Amino acid sequence: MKKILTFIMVITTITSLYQPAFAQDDATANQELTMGIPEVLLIDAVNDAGVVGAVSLELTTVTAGTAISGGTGTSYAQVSSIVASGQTRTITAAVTGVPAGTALSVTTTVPSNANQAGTVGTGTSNVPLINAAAASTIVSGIGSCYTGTSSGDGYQLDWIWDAGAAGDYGSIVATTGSTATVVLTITAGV
Amino acid sequence: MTFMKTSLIKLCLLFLLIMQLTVLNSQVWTAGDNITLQVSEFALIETNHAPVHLELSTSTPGSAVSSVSNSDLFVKISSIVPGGTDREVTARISSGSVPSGTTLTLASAACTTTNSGGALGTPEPNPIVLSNIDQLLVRYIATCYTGTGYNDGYQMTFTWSPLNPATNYSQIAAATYNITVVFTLTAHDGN
Repeated sequence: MKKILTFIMVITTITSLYQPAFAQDDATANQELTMGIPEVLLIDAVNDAGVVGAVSLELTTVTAGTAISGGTGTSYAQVSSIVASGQTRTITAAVTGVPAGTALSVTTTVPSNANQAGTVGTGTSNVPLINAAAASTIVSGIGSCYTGTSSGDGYQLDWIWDAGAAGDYGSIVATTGSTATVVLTITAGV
Repeated sequence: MTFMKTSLIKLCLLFLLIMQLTVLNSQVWTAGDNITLQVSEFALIETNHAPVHLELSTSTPGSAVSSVSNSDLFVKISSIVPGGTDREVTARISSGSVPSGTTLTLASAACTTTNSGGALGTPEPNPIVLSNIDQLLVRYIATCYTGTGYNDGYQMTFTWSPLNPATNYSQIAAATYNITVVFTLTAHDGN
């Protein structure tokens, strides 16, 4: 009889221990997510109206005895960039079609308005652009950033077109509708 | 001799008792027995294991990367609770972390109705910002089942976005990030 009582007590104890342990278990399920951010490098050149179009420059003078000057204009380079960790990019410019005897240079101001964000890098001043020469760096240190897409957004490119070296002045000829093409390139991250 | 006499008396008494039992046995008697019906509480949870792939990108020069969403994942449960109690579904990140400069949110839809039944609870009205701490997704789940089909259960929507890009955008770095989210069907609140 005593053995039976002991047996019943053992069974009761095991049962009472088991039930609360079961009741307190949470149940879980795992789910894996793959999240990718590919590198992004997009660049577009727009005029000061915010649309793709030529910038008109004109060299002339109204003062007898002076060289022609005053060919200035502004355009913008709008950029979206996502770099890998630790990488930076540059924007370079290369030109063809600058009329003989003249000189083209550009000053680049990085965007700072409310439509941009991120690491927009550092601009440059008065970088000469020589026909068919190697591309020149006009912005460096670009990280992950965007410049905005409205008119006036982006890297401001102030073009300065003047008579070139004094020795070349004789090669300048009057022309209308001459087109110079500047190729802006945003480099892969390094 | 006395012993034999005593034994004879005992034998007679035993015979009478057997006779009496036989008589009793011929009558109609009903017998009762206890039958125990038990429904154990339980909680089971599983997902449809849909591959969830999110990608931040843009195709417009000058614009920020766009938010992206994925609603392929369904969470299925089976739940039995003691009367008057309920459970919740919670979620947290168990491995990996949300990339710098971005935020990952999760929202649950109400359970699909095609193959489900019972008290399926109420999803939280606002998405949760996923972190490594459990947060409530669905409340007031009692005894219910969601169905077992690929698109049965609570449809989960993950949304991945740049976080406050005006100040944090430069933190976003191109890479592939793997994150594990663990869904928990909690013990009922009667514990």
